[in-house]
Amino acid sequence: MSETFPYRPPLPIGSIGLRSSGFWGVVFLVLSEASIFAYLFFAYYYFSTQPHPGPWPPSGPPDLTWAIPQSVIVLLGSATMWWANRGIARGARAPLLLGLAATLVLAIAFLALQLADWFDKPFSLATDPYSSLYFTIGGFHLAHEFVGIVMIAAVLAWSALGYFGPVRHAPVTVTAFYWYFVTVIWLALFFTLYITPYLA
Amino acid sequence: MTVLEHERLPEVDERNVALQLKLEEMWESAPGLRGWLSTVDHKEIGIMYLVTAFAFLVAGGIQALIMRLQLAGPDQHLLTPEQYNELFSMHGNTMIFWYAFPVLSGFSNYFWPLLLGARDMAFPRLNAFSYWVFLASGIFLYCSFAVGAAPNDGWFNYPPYASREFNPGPNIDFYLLALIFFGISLTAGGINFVVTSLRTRCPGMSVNRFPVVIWGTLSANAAGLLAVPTVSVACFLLWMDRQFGTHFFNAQNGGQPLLWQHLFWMFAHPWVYMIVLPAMGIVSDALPVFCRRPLVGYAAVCLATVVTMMIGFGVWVHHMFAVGLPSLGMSFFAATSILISLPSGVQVFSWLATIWTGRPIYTAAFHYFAGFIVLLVIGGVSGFVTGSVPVDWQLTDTYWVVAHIHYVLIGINLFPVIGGLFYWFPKMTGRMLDERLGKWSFWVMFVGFNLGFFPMHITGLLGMPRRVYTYPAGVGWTVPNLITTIGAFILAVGILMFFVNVFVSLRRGRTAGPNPWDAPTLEWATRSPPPPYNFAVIPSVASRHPLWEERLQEAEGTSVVDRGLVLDHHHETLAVTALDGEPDVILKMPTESYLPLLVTLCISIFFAGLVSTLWWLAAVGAVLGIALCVAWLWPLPEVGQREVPADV
Repeated sequence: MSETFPYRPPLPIGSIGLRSSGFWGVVFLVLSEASIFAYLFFAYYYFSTQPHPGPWPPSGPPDLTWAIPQSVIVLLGSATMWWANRGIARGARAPLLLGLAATLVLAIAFLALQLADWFDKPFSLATDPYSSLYFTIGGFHLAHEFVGIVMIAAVLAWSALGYFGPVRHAPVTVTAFYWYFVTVIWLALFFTLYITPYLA
Repeated sequence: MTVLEHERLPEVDERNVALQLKLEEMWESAPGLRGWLSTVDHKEIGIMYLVTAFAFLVAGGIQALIMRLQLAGPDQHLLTPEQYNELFSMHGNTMIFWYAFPVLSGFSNYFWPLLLGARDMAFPRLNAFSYWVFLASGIFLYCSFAVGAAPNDGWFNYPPYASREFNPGPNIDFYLLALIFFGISLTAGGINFVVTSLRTRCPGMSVNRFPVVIWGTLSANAAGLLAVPTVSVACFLLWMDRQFGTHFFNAQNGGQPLLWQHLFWMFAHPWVYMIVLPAMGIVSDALPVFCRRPLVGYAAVCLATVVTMMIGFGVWVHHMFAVGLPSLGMSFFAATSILISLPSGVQVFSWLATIWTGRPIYTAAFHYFAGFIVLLVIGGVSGFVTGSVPVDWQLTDTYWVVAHIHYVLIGINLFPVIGGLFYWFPKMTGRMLDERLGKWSFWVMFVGFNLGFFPMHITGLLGMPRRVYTYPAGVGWTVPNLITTIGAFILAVGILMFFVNVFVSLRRGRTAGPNPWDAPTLEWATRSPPPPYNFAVIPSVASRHPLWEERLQEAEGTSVVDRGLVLDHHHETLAVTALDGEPDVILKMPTESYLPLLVTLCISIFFAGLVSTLWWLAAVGAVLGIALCVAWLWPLPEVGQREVPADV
């Protein structure tokens, strides 16, 4: 007759919170994605510090009309996401659903503001190195934003189906972690593209 | 469907036949093609990696032999300059990207769970995905031959020659997109290895008991997560330059061609350590078995491995000494380049001391490992001297550098890989490779290699530039080039002999038994080849050499391999705490799936659309791929990703 494991309390089973493989996976995915942005920022600072004809940026420091509301929205989105994740950890479904829905709306609003900012620009992707960097770095962030929207929409649908409870909700935690990362990257991007030209 | 319990007190039992039969049925892959396309068994994936990587080695090798025929004498016209450009570019890309790292991933995929006492990698489906993407990206690269436009700007693809203006065909687009494509495989594999090493191990497998190959592969893959994005970004930016007229690298519009060199080498220098450290780990684990003693200086070797990888991020400018950077910067990078030979030296002395103080058994594997040490020292010295700026100015872009890179890549990658196959082939197949043919193939390879590549140092010192498709008679390059060509063919014969050995031994090799070398680590505690579930009961370890404990008496407790956690409710394995290896959680592992292959096909459609500039096709691939990813990530109750509602 077999016996039970002698020297531990019972072991949790399956995908649970910060012990889920998915969470560990997203941590290292984020590490790698963060390096993408580190290298893009490296390219930006490389250009801005190498000799270039005329001022940097060529059209003067960028307009903050859209970028400041974007920053506020992105921070709010992380807050609603945190609220959703904390809610389900306590077993409350209402904050989960409301928080995810609010995050989704804020994310789409962010996307709209970003596109508005782009259409306002007097230059295009192929105008000069600055414009190429501006749209490429912003585009990379937007792509991550878009992936986040797909994830949030999926997790919202799964939450509505009643998949998650106080123990099993690792997909929510994983999405939340990814979303905080997208927020942090925006702040780094905001500092690099929008603030440093004013400091020069 | 029953609701999955949240926790349980796992059972402990002896290894027994009933349990083995139950697990066998649970873990076995489907037979035939269906099983092959949907498998998530790390051992099958490991073998697929190894076989595919060797196929790329053969392709790259044939390209090399054609080039050596062209260079055998002066003023030859077997190849046109353009054909020569495409061959040396494809040779470099194939060997450095699609052979050298994946072959090590093959070993690691096969052996990590066995070495760590687990039933699988942390992410079995991601594991299959990383393989399929590796294969698909390689096929994508080779499609460039099919359309007659292979990459033609070398493996480091410098602009301005790589820009659209000077290279209007799709050649460079294939290179750029194939590398981004391959980067997906590296990232997926990297995450899998890192999380596996932190999580899916047996009780007692604390980090100070890791086999060295775990340290090597872990360092390489963690570094890959940080380094691969650089080359992906660089390739993407250059592709944007070529397709959408951005101005990252074209100097006439304010772009910075040197930025490509920085981004490329910020990736590629860590990369060359990534493709040697796991191989050095193989030697650190397997060589002591043939010296009948533990490795000398385990802690120093592990630290040296990690330190080499870290310093490896700080030496990239030594590839750029000739481009006119400030001398202060060059001095710094010269210093780090010379510094990095110290941890490599630690490892060399550790292997020498292991041989010196052991009782060596001169098997074929031992021959390959000993040959590797010699080649590492020669390649290390030829690299060390070019770390000095003035020497580099003399030697850069000559055959000296070609000699150096081949000494380090063939010497530190191919020799340990083949040695590792002699060591582990019995575990993978249940049969021994032929020792006598093995030693013959070693000597033929070793002589051929040195005959082929040592004279390249001389051609380099005589000033012959690399990447020229021919050379005039009467400048003193004819004889060393002819010798190199002869050596290259002898090397190829040696490799062929090894392949013959593999094919013959697969059928007729001596039966191996579980532990033919009397080796100390966990993979030898299970049968050969291992059952699909690896270990019937999860072992627990108390030392670095669980199977040598009685002889060494170094353990604090006793390792137990035939009694342990049963974990027989569906596909289960144990996750432990990251540092100490204490049981933490019972993981439910996913079963066979076609999704990794299907997502790979979508990504292939996406890249096919990009390279042919059929944007609608790329969009189709992207949308299908995202939809399949959602399906892949759909939370499953049986692996404990979601609750089952009470009313079901």
